[in-house]
Amino acid sequence: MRGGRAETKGAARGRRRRGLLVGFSFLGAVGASACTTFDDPSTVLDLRILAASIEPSEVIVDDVSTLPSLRLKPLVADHQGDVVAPQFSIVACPNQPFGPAPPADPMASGGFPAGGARGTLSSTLCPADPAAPHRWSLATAADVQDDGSVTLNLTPDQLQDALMSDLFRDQFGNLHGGFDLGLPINLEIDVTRGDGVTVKAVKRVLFWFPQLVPAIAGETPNQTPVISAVEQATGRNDDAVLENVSPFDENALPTVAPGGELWVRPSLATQEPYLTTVLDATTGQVLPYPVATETLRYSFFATSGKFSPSETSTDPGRGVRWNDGKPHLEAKYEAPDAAEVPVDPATGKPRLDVTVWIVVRDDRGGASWEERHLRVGEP
Amino acid sequence: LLSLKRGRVLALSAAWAFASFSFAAAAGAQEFEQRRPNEVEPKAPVPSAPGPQLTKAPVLKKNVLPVYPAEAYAEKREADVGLLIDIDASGTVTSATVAKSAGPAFDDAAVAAAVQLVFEPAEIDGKPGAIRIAYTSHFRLAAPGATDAAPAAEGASGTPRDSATAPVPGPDAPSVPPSASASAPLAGAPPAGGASAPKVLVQGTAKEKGTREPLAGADVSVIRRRRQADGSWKEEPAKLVGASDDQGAFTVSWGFDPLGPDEAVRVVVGDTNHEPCIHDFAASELGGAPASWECVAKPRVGRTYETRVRAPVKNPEATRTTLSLRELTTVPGTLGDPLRAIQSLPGVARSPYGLGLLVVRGAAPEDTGVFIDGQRVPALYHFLVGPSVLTPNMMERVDFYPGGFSVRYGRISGGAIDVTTHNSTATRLHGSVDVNLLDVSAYAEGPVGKDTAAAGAVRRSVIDGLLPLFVPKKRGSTYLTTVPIYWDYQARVDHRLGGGGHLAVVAFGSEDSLKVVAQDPDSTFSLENRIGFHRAQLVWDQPWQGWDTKLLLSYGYSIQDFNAGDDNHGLIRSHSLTMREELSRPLASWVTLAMGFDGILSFDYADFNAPYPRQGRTLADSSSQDRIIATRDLTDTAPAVWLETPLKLGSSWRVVPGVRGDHYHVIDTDKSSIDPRLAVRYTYSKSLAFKASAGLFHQLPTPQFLDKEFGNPNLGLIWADQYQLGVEKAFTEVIDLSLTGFLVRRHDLPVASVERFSSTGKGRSYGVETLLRHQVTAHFFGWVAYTLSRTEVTQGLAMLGGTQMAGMNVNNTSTAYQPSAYDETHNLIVVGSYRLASWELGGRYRLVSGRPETPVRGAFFDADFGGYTPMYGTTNSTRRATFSQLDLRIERTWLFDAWRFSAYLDVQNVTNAQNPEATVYDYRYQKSAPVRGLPILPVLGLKGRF
Repeated sequence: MRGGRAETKGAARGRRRRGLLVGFSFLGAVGASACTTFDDPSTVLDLRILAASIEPSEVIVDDVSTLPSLRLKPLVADHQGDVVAPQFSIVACPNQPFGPAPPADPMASGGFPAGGARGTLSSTLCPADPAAPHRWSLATAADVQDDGSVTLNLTPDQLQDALMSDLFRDQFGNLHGGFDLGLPINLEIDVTRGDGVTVKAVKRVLFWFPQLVPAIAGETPNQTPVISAVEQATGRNDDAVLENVSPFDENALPTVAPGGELWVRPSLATQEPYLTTVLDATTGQVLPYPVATETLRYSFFATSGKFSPSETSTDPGRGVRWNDGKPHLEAKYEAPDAAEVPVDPATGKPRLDVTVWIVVRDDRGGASWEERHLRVGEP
Repeated sequence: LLSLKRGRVLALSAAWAFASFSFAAAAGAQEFEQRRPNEVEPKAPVPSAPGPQLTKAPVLKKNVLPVYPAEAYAEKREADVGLLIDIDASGTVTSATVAKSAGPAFDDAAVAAAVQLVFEPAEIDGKPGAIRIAYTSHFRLAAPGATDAAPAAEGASGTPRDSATAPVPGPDAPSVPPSASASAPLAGAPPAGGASAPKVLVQGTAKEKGTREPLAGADVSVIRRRRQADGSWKEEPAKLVGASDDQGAFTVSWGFDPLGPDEAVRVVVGDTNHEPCIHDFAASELGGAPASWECVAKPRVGRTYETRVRAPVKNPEATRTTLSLRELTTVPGTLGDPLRAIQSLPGVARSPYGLGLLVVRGAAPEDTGVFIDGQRVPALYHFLVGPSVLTPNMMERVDFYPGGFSVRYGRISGGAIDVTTHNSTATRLHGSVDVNLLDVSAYAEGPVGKDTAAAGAVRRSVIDGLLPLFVPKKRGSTYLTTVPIYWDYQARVDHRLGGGGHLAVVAFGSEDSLKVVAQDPDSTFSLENRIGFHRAQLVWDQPWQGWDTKLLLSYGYSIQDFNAGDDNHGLIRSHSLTMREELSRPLASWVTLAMGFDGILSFDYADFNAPYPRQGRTLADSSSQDRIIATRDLTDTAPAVWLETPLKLGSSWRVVPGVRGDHYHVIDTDKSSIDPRLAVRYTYSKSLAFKASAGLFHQLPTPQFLDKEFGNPNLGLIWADQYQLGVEKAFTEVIDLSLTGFLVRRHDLPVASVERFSSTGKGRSYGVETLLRHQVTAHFFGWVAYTLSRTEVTQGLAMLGGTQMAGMNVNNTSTAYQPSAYDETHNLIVVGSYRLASWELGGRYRLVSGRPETPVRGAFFDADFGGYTPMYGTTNSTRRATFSQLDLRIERTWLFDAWRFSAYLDVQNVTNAQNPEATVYDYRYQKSAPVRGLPILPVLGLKGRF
């Protein structure tokens, strides 16, 4: 408790983690530091892929001969907003059990290397050599539809190829892989803007085989989380209650003074219960693992200004949970200072139109987003 | 007339310094062990003005080395013997008498050698004359720093170092009674008028200023003074009347005319190493009972005139560097911390941020063992940039073995550091207090009984109390930093047993925790992280029927406790019993049998309760993570036996084969190893020797790696084969050079894999270590250490040792070698410290190649977790900028009668060099910035000693 404001454990934990990041060392006291301020990840300065959605994000394969088509759509943006009709190509490859573990993998950051074998997430780039085995070109620029999406079709042979290449043995000698832990297929997205600038992203779709993992039979594949509404608020009080809340719909254009702030709160998407499998570390056996509540993570982006925090979550470790027992998904938009806002020649007043995106992701590759606009200037 | 004229004293000193230089030039090549010139320096305190003048000091022509007493050597006893040596006008020693005894054996050895010395005679008023000099023989088991001696005789070697003299010019000078403790009447001079029975005029004691140590063997002279009509004093020539005894006591007797009312007696007491004490007694003070006087003599800088007798170094074939206490405590940039001085030696990589990591010949820090009195300890340094866990006062010696060490040491595959604590022999109470910006420490030692002495030390950090005073308060700020809280203690009781035995009970321990310092005064953040160890051990040395035996029994308690927030907890606790028994016995004149048992029985308990990502293929955020709720209750054992047979082949060869067998029962797994080792030393001459060694060295992987849940119990032992070839050359008495080439190959190193870890990693280090060293002298010590080396590991290990746990390939079985994260091609360290009077100024400069780094050549966006994954270039294919840093230290000492006080300023990174220690990247790895190392860091300290 402090200042009349109550902190829950989650909030305190969030503060602690920040604290740890600030200076987990006596070295901080004596001045060792990196005196560089990097760009904020929520500010879109140039060409970036902010998210990618795929439908379906999870496939339960009852019959290999009737694999569903996959519809992939990346969110491509730069400092001017949406990149219209980006050109991209899609290459697919199976999971690499001995491949690198990305920084997001808690197994890696915790000092227990997992790579693509037993990691909780192991998307990686596909081999660069077009002639490499296990590398399938699924779409080219010509396949991109007007809405920026592309439809992909994997063949049974490719799936079998992926299954056979995703095998490993644990420390007890037991054989594991895509057949019992789920088979991820990595999709590499190469987006090229008109000026030739290219960025890369990877996206994953997970396949299950009930014949091999009977426990998964009958499960409902992952449903893409959806942000059904967005709210705006002028502030948040010490009890973490938003003030002057109003809808922030697609047609709204709230104005924020230069250097001012606006709170943005997405609605809570559906948190599905689901069943997955895990590797028991003490026995090497693969066990069904039910998850009662799926974690949702929200990322905020703006073409100018920044969001703080840039990411919120239903997970208290990532977001802020207060003593009302609810996760707080809102983030504070901080408008650029007046010096950074151009003057409108027509009015002689500062004015800057800003595009905002809010992306929601779930545990199993489901993702969607909402786009909003606001204006930085004098009300 | 005698008078104390400083200018003359200085002039004489300069002349004698020249004489000493001449001797050094002549003798330097003769004795490998020669350390200091054997010139004779007349003692300053009793210069005589109108009387005979010493115009040339005696200079040693023929040196004879004392023989180290065999029994004392066997019992590892050291001693100093004070002598008074009378030299006639031809330079022949006419007598040598003991002024300060160290027991019959040492006394006899010192005297036997001294009477064989031959000098160029002293000259008095330009003519050869008789003289008496004070002379000290130091018997030491091992020489600091150096290679071992070429023994002058079996079991001993002698090194004339320097001698001191209290010249008493005049034909009667040699007639001073040799008794070190008796009073004496005025000698030589015939009574001016009818002699009377000697009467004790003065009873006094002589002590050293600042330490209250008794001045044994100090010369006592008197000058009869008569006041003239004009008020001035007329003085008779000085007369040497005796010397102080072991306790510094002396008396002045008077056998001549009674003093008249206008007369006085000036008494002068002093020796080579101290400024003179002078006191004038008026006749009225001397009429009745003997006057009492306490002489407190100020030590002189440059107490360099003595004989040093060295027994052969144990295991001379080993490549080892030994640092003396002065070197250990005054190397700049180490804050006076002895064990940090080791980081300035060749073969030791620079530790980033000044952290206490010991990377020896490229081995990981955990591969180098630290032993305190033979007992391995889990930590050498306190947290972060804290000092070592042992205070300097308790240390007697630190031996650093970069590799190729004896089979006595085991369970490590890198280097070894053997810290020997101070064997307390105090005859009265001593102590010290040290206060600096990091910590406060205190030390005391003293006698407990006739054959027993005790010593103890404690230390506690203060930075945790000081730093909050300087952190600006800002309500709501999330600024946090952590500072270490540490404390340690050491206690030791030594008891001398009959038959040359020795019993010591030693206890020491250390604990560390962290304190969070926050800008926000309302901050409630807490972090509990505690690591500590405690040891209590009994060491019994006893010669027995020709055997040397040493038994060590030890109980140890170690704890690591971590709590962060409400849901992260880890505890590792261990109770251990250690037994070491060493037996050695000469089987013949050329072979010795040495063997031992080295066993550990450990009761270990571990408890973890922390979030743990589940091992599945959906994105597990912390809310959906599993928890580690693991408890381990284990009984681990690690017995070992070793056998070594040093062979002395002829006068030049020493060959030491040895073998060690280890068995491990750890975390319910059993592993064994056999380590054969061979070391050879060839002494080409007394100033040149060659060494070579080869051997195997096994150790356990980090125990956590063997856990079935977090590691892989099938991992094998890590092992290394080490080879080294070296040469040692003494250029002068104080300057020597060692050059060592080495090759270390490491095998079965744990590498990250889908089995969590597999024993598929390999590594190798090779290079040349050079140490050009100026031994400690009165005014200076220093060295230049340069290491040219290469450390490589196979690819998976290179990534593991770096920062690429994320982004790394697992099960990387590539056998291609890449630079290790510890690789430093060039490592140059220059250390020097100069002492002048009460000031000491030192500097350390380091120029080290930047550490390898793996370049990031881009990144891609991972749309599932919403972040970027770096794309690395070739592992460790680039290097950070060269490290360059200058550290300075200045110390000033003030002497008081009963204690001394010092203030020092140790400034690290004087030039505030911006040395990069790491690289940080922005969220998408497009921009980077170096993480700078320590900025300029001045630390002020105060020390008081009594």
